[in-house]
Amino acid sequence: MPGKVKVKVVAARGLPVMDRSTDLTDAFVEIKFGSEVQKTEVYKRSLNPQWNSEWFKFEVEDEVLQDEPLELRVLDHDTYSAHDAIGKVYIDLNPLLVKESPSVITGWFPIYDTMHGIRGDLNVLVKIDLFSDFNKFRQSSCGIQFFCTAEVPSGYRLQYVHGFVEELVVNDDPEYQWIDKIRTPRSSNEARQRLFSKMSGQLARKIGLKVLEMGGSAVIGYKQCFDLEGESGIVIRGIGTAVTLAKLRDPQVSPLGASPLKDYQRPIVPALYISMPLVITSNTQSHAHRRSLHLPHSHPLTPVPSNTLTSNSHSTKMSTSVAHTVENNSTPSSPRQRSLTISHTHPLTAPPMSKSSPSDHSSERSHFAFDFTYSSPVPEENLAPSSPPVSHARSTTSPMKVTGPPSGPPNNRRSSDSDMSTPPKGSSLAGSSGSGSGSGTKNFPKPCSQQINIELMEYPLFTMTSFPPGFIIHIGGVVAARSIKLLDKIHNPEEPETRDAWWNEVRTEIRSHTRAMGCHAVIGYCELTSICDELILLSATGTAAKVNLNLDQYLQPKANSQQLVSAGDRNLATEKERDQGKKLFVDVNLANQMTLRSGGSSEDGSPRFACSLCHIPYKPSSAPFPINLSQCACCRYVHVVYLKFNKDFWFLMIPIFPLEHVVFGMCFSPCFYYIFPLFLLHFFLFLYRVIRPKINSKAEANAKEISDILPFLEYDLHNQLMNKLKMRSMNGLFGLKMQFVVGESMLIGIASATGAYLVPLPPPPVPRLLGQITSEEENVALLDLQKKLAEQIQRNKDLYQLTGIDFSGQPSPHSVYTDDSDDEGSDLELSAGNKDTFVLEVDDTKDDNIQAMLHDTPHPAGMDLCNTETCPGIQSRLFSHNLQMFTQVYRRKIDLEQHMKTDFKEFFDGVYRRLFFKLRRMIPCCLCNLVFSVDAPEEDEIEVVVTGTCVAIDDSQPQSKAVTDTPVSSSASNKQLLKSANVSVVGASGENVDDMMFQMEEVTEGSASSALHKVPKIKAEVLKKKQSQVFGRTLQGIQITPLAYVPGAKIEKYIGSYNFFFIRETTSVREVGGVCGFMQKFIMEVLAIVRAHVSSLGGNALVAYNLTQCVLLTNEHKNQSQCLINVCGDAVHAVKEGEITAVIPEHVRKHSDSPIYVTT
Amino acid sequence: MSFVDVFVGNYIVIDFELYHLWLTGRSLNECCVALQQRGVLQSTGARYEELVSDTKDSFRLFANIEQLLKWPTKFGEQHLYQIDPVTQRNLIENYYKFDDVVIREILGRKLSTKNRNNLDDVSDKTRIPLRSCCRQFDNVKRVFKTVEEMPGSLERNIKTHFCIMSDELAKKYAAIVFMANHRFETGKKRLSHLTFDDFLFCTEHMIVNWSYSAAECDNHEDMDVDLDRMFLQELRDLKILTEKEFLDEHRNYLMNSLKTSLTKKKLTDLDDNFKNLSKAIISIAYGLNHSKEVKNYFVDVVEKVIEPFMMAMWSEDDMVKFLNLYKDSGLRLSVFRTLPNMVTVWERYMNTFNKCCLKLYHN
Repeated sequence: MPGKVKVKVVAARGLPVMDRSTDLTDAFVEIKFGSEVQKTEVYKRSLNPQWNSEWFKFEVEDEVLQDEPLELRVLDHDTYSAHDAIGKVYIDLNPLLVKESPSVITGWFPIYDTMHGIRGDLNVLVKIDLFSDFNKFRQSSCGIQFFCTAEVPSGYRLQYVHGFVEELVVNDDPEYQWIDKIRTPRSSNEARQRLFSKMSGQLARKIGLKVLEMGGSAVIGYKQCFDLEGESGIVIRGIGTAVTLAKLRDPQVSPLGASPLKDYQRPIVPALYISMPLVITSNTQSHAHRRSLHLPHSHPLTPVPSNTLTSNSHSTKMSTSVAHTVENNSTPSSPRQRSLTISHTHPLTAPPMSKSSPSDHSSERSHFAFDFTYSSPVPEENLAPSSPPVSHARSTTSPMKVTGPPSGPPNNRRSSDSDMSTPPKGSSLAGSSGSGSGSGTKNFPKPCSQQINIELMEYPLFTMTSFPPGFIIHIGGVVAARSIKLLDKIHNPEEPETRDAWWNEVRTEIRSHTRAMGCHAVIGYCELTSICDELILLSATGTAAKVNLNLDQYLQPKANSQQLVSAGDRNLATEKERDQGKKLFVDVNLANQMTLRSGGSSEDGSPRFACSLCHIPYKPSSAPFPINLSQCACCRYVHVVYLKFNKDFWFLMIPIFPLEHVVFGMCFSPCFYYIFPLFLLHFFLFLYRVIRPKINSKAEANAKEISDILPFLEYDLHNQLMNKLKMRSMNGLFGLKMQFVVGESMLIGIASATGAYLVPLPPPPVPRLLGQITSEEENVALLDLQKKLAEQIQRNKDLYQLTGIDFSGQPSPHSVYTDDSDDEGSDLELSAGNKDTFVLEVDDTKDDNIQAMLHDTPHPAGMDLCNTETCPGIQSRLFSHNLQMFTQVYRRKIDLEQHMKTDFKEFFDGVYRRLFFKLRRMIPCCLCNLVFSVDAPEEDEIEVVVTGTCVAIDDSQPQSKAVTDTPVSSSASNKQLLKSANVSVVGASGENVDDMMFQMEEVTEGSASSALHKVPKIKAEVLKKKQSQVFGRTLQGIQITPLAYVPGAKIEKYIGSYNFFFIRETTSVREVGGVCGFMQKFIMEVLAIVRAHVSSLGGNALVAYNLTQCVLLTNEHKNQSQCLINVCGDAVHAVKEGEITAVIPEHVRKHSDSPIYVTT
Repeated sequence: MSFVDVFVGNYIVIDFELYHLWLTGRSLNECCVALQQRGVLQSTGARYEELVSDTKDSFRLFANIEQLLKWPTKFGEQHLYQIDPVTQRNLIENYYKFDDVVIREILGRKLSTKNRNNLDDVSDKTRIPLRSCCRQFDNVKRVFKTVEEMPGSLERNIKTHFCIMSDELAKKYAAIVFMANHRFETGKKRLSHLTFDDFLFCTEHMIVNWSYSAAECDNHEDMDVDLDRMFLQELRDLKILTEKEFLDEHRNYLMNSLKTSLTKKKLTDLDDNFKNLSKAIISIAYGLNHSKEVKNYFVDVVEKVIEPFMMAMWSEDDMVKFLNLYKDSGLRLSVFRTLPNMVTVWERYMNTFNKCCLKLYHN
């Protein structure tokens, strides 16, 4: 679609003095779009010129629209010599190309100069008239929306996932062109900025075309990376997930709309890199539940509910799983609970119910509305009301059907070359696991031709980090592929084959690893590079998972009817089975057991427990590598959960794979804790890092060296991470991020993750020290250390309030017995291994690691840390508002000689302490989405860029008050509920009655009191103490947050994504306050420009903000410094909870309104 | 040791504890030590190093923001710092707050660059760091230069042009500007015992009652930096009171009224000195017409009115009685019956003059 761009230059303010003699400026503006340049008149002698120009018009092709930014250059008119540049404003027009987007961009834009920073503001008005395309044979990717947000944007519904899209664009770096020798730094920087901006536009356009080809309408989880390869050019890579999004109906219209939808209504199952909303869900649910007890009369007893649940239609696959969730949480199958759930499942059919339920319920639950708004408009046919026990009984019979082996057709997935490259062991296993996965997918009916088969995807990679419920079926573990390459000159920028080939290699590699783990998709996929001279380290990581692509609820009923017809089909029977299993977990467990006994595929029949996500996706006996398996602590009979962090596993893994690429499996089980919020107590952040000195040598030898070291480094990292985890008595990690950096003299690996205690997984064993004891002295030292270790662990347990549940994780003798017998049947002897012993090897240098473990930077009370979007264990409802988004840059020399390790640790401890100190006044708060990005800019220097956001935790809200006020009653109610739940369990399964009941009761009691009540109590105390602090109020202005949501507000509208590469240089470092002053100013300027752009689009927040690149080059002798920063994010309009949602119409928006407070 | 160490947030969050220290003009190290002594580190487990880093960060920020603070209206039209209104207000107000002792020293000096360079002695005398003295000097100078020529209410002008919300602070600046405008002599040794507060009080009353913004003044358009010219001209008419005839009449009335409330000795004292005293009071009044005399207003009041009473050991109560009765008995003079508009002038002058005198009447 070609279009006409109209630009009006209104005014400028605060211009710098350009003419020393008059102390004034004769400013004019040059408007450049594409190759066309137009000018305003010169406004003489003013620092606040008012041009109020005519409309400047540019008629351009859509490619130009998409590729080029509108460039406004403010100049000082000079009659005799060349005009002096004041600065520039770049405006990306892409947000205007999307329909339902703002029709106008207007506002004050900071005038930015690469040498002087911000110099005044320019008020501009930009409009576009798009012509509908006259050439229908030419495809245009105009209108494809790009979201940096790595999840389904709020207000949208995910219709289809089309898969992975990637593209890369290559160009020469202007900084390295010959012309750079003769031009000024300013024009060099500007050339670079322009080129980067254009390239990223091109990249997006190309990706857009690919998305169109796939039939998608948007890209989510869009990530753009700049590889500044120096001499060999620049590579801009973009990856994302092509999807079809449908706008949700106006929430106000839906029956649930009565209560304001909140941000935590986002229906997302957190995947690996995420922890989020489900936590929330869980908490709110348990909460709602408790409340429901207090208000029993408010729940109408409707006959409909249980039917819907028992219905074997899978029209509401997700809804049932949700229902199940609820059930599991409050185990009794109380009609109350169900009615609630159902009312959400079928909002269309049962509006009165949801209305009659108390408003807070509906609001808490309303997140389900998201999925179910479109769910079967026709109520299920099997509406015969039956009481819960009956339905249990009914389904007990069904499990038997499951026992049949999965009848997926023989695995005929394309075997890629990479599969060949995997070691014999892996590939042989891949076959069996593949068949499992194959059948898994086949299970899902194909209701329409648009159905996407994941097996057909070349790269089943998903850049999203959280998914709608039901998307993830199983989670395998972390997969990663790394590759070291030597940079070469890119000869033909149009066909960047080498770079493409490199990445294809890496992606193929990761795919094969995924298959080796019995999974068929990678979620939370991301790619990273590290460049040092001519070496480039490519790494790709993600979480292997099995996913269900066919999410669209709308399609399900049709499929259902089909299925019913072909009831003979075994797959479908399984399907049916599974659906029932979801509701009646006990029976399905039984069924499952049977499946296992009969040697059938374990995962096919496994119930869709929430905890099933952490069940291994492959048969225990055919695990790709020796691992320790143990029973799942929640469903107890199913023993497919494996002990995740196993040392042996590492030993075995590393030698197997080619040294360049390492794959490893760690099970991340992120999802199911929404059932068990009680147990999920705390979390913390790990940051572990290892430096190994790199020997300087020739490039090729260097590459080899690095690829030799890398696996060990990676192993080391994981090892430390696991030790750390055990020290904290936790058993799960979320949001693992690993970064490997190749420096001139060192190779740095850093990993960060948020730890959590996940109930289904066995509690971590207590570390035991083991060392070569040669003398009594050493023995004493060792014992001492062991004692300290134990103390530390106890401290941590107390800190995270894990004490209550610890023993609960250990099965009682009785249940162990039963389980053991099962194990024998399904050859799980592996689990008999060193499950409970965790041995720390201590050699002479014992102090280093163990001491390091013991001395962890403590974080201040009331300040929680996580590198995920929401903090596990904290209800996101409590995230009342954004306090601060911060960027910390810290660089210093590091002692490479003797105390490297301690110094490196000290380096990061320093970073932490600075952070804590800086944000001490924000307590109670939670630092979310902490991202560490390390670089080794010089031989002996390390730089870390920390970004994150500080979110206020406010539990003074009425709901949580209820919790704190009535701890006794609520815990009692919980207990009661659980008891009854157990009874129903007993009734259904008919075995191990007493033991089970006893066991579970205790579990709940301990955990309930510790988790639910202690935490808020402590919080409340903290709050009371600190309430006098300054930060009680909500901040206004333009928010910037790295999170995908705006805490305390609801995203009303996505306006467009913002992406810009800033370059700033100075030749007077000392004058601007040194490098620190320079950096501080520059980051502030970047944020200011971002805010101005957001407000010019009519937004008030930028979500999914990411500082993807921050390169600082400095030469103190020359008094010079240069810094490059790339930022991206999605501009949104968010509305505070409780505020009236009034969208200001475009034309009403004042052209000159400034986003910043006007002083009065 | 660290080479780059910065922390930047989307919102500008000010550590006001540190901001106050910064405003006092302390160096980076002094601030750190001060904060450490207050136990900032204990509560967070941070080390001194982090404190220094945080302080450096803040200092850089303050230095950047200082440019805006000098012209606070610029806060409204800048994008660089996202500051919420409350913080912004606090920033500005604290920046414009001053130490009375410092301002006391600056008062009466010409606001010139030369004087700014000689603030060392002020710093020495007041024991306030030089940087802080300079800031206060600059603030006064800037405010003065900005509003000096502006029409309208001094206080309102200061409020709008410097975004100062607090009435109290704006009033103080108004008084300072007023004093600076009239170059009141405050540096004389004779006045050295007077505090800023004394001057502030007097000046405020002078602004309220004698300037163009006074209720009695019809011409409000003009600046209240200046005294109401009409009033000053009318004050000249009071000269008639210094004629012997009226002086005697006035004395008689006064002595009669005071007879009961004062000791004999004081009465005779007063009786002897009344002539000089009354002349002095009235000459101050009509002297206000000449800017040179205005300059010496405080000196004259102290020298000619207050000091004699001080010597005679009059208490403040005695002073109150005397001054009130002096004013009231004046009204009974026959002269006022013939010139009725002199009553308002007399009252307008005497009310404020009495207040000034009483305020300044101390050691």
